[in-house]
Amino acid sequence: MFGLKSDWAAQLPPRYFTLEDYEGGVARWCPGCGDFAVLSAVQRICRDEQLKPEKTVAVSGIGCSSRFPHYMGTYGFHGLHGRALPVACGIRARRPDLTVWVATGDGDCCSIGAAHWVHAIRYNMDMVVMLFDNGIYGLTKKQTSPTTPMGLATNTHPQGAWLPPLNPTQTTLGLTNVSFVAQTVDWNAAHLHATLKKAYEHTGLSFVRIMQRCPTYTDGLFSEAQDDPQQVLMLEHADGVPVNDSLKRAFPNSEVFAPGSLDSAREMASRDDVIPIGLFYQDATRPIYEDFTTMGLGMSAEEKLRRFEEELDRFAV
Amino acid sequence: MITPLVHFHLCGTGGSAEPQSYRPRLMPPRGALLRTEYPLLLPPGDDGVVSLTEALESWVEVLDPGGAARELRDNLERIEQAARQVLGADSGPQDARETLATATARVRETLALAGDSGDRFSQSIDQLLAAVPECAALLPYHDDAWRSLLQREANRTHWNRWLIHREKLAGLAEHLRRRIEVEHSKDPATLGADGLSQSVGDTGARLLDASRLAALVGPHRGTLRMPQDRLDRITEAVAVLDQWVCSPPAPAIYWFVGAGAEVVHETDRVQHPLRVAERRFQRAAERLAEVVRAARTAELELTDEYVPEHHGPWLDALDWQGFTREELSLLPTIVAVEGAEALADGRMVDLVRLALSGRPVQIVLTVRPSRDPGGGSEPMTAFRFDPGRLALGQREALVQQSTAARPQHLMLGLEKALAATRCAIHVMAVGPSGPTGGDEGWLAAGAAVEGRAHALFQYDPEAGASWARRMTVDGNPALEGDWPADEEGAAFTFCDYALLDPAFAADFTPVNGETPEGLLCPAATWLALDPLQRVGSIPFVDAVNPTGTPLRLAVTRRLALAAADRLSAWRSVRELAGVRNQHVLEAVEQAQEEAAQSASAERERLTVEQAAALEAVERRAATQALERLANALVSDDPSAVLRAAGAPAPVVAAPLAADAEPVPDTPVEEAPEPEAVTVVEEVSDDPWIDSPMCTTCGDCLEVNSLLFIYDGNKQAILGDMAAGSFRDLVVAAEACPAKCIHPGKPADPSEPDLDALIQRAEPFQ
Repeated sequence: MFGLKSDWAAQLPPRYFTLEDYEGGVARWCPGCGDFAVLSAVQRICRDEQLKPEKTVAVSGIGCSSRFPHYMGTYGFHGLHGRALPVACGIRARRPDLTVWVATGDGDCCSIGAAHWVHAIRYNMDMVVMLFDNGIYGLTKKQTSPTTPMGLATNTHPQGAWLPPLNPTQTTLGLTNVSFVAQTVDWNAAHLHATLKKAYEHTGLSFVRIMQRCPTYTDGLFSEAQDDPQQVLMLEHADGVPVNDSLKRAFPNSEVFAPGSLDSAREMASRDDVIPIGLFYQDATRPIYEDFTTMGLGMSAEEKLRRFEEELDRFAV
Repeated sequence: MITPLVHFHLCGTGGSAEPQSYRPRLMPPRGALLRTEYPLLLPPGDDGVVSLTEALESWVEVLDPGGAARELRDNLERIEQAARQVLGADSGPQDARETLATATARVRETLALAGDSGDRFSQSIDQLLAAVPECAALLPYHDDAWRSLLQREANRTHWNRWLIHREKLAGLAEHLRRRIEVEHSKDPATLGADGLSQSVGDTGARLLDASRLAALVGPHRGTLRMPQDRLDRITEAVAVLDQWVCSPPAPAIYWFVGAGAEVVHETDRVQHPLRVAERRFQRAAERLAEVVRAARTAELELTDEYVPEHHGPWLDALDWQGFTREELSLLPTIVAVEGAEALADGRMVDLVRLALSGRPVQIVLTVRPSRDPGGGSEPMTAFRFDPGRLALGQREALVQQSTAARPQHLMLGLEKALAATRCAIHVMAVGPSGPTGGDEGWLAAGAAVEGRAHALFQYDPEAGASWARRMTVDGNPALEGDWPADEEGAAFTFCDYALLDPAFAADFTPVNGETPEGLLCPAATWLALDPLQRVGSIPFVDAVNPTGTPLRLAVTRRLALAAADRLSAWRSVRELAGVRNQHVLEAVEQAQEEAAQSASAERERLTVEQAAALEAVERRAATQALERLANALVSDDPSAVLRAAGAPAPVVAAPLAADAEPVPDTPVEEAPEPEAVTVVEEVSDDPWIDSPMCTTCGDCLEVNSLLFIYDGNKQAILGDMAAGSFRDLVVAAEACPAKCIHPGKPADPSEPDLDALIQRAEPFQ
């Protein structure tokens, strides 16, 4: 009405952020590393959404990918090995106004940090968890990680890895209160960006497994899939990761897959004949733990003291 | 509660609303940052008027088709808002480039972008400013903005035509002058010694012997002289044409603003603008008639068709009514501006006289849509003096009721009016308290249109012979409905609009406490009721108070009846334009009834035919079955009996059900299977980068940071092609983990090791 179009009620934020505002120095990873693509995608999402750098936190554990917070022009927390998720959950528990990006590797998350992984999924706090899965401990020079393919010779298993690799997507889908699970690859920046964007838009913990190769130690991990796009199965759905014509050309093998069923998602995640990419599962109705942990945030110091005293007064010494 | 409310509604007593303290709930809150069609960009020349938003977007599309100037694209809205601040609310048109330069400087300062983004932003702003046409102007919103638009349109059309005619008339004068020269050369005196001496001047006379030269020069252009009266006529025409061609052009537009006109920035007022305009037009037409007379004389003389007995009296009597359309367009635009109040107070006669005279004068009537012109202290009586409807009664005048807040509608009307050869009447709205600008002015003007206080319409007698073609109400919201409504169905009525006029403050009162069910009803519902059904209920409007709290305001019967009058006026204007016209509705109903009857008869006929066909087929099938059975019985093969008995009956179409749909006139065609389209990937000879696939690893920049650069998304694009070689492209393509660099074919055939490089490039094409 009044000649106003729907987008004509302008709300101009006072500040404007460029990509440089989200850059925290020159990223140092090996040439050809997929971490560059993830970093760039996250920075672009921050820029597109005009997230305030001082209201954004990147959290990581230990590993190559965990250098991520250093390269973000936002707040960051380079945590202990395997402890990215508890730190991130702690942040969200009392600072729900902050946007949290978690960078964790296959060793960091699926091995030493596996216990935290289980509970972080159950807590379902609003953050994006990016699992940089290159199937190797790169920072410690080619040690077997939980997702190392069977038979891959490493410094800890020179005769080849003995055990079948852990499937982090399938594992996550088996955890209680899971609300968002997606999978993408590092060699297609467009799909990577679209997947992370979808994850950012989800309210709750968005778990994104980024399948990537380490250019130094597992360079040929996905050579076949890169040479033959038919080996990648792109999941399409109106509620899934948005797919454009360019992506359809890059991944001609696609399938309509509704991300609403846990059983279907688990079945899809377990496929080993193709590499499924896209959104496996999303349920925005799952409880979010921070709705509980943020209670009483607005309470004044005096009020806190008063209630403290009240509790103590219940005990006679 | 009941009695005071009823008293208030009926008598207007006890109202407790404070002036201007409430605002219609459906209007954006005061002070909200809005994007409107203003400021408008008025480009020089014939380019159309567009909003600054559109202009900025189109410039950016031209100078940055690839979308690399991300920072500029993201901040166009900021630039637009800064330009609006620079312009202010009350200013007229201002230089576009200068305004935008100031606005972009402010945005640059506010954002303070550093690094590559800052450089890119500065560079793209410089390009943007260079793209702004020279002499273009920006026009902020004001109720008076129609004046700038009319001035521009008049200038544009007038000077275009004037330049074309000047050339044409100069040509006519030149041709006539040659005739005169020829005639002059026939004069023996010209060829005599004195004449020759004069023609060569003093210097020439010293060098030449004029008497001996005269003896040599003969009458080479004949001796038959032109009659003196014709020569005089031609000479006079040349003088008139020369004077017109050489004299400075007259102004393209003359304004005569009446004392009652509601316009600002105008000190020079006249008492009777319509009469003065008529006289001014007459004077201009008489002056032009001389020129037209001379031009027509010239044309006739040049073709030797001038017959003094015929053409003389005809040309002597020539006045503006004998002008062609092109000749009329040479007249300046005469604009008379008068207020609706003055019209109601007795100037109506002037309007009728001028409109019926047919003189192509532009009459602008300013009106406050919430008021009743001539109504005295009453803001609105039950039936309003309606300048728009009265103008429509002037038969052959072009009429438009418009507002500067709807520039597309206004511009269309102005173009038609200035192209027309008849009087044009423009009824222009101003704010409830006089002409205002800014967002609030724009919103109030829009609210007048939304609340049917100032319904938009255009009536162009030259558009066709019927009302349906001449009249249009396009541009109004919710053409089919009584009132426009939001997504939830809440209507915006004249009562809501009246909230903006302080003169109606006493006509609203907040409803406090409980009221019996059915006593209050929304104003739109109340207005849709039959007058008898309205008794016993009180209309209300939804409003918000200064703190944004919603509340209901009951309205007085006086205001409700004024709203009913506006609704009636809207319905009748709409009907004149053929929208929800009762004649049309009845015709459609009748046609539908006839079609239904015809379809019913056809269905019955088909049912009968189908039943007959079914019966015939069944009979034939029974006969055939008996025949087969008889044949089998007489045959030697016993199995034939079984086959004959079990033979399937002929397939018979199912009879039509009695209530089946009639057969459609056109058979439903099945959608053809989409043809398989084979997409042939074109291999480009030029190098290119599939930038969306770039993973920002920086490897290509390591190879050559001039050839490969990052775009606004920090993804690789090709930079300076001259700064790199084919080898660089191939090496980078090999290094790229995303395989998104395609080297193409080498540009320099003399590059060393080219064959090997081409072979290496092959997998990446």
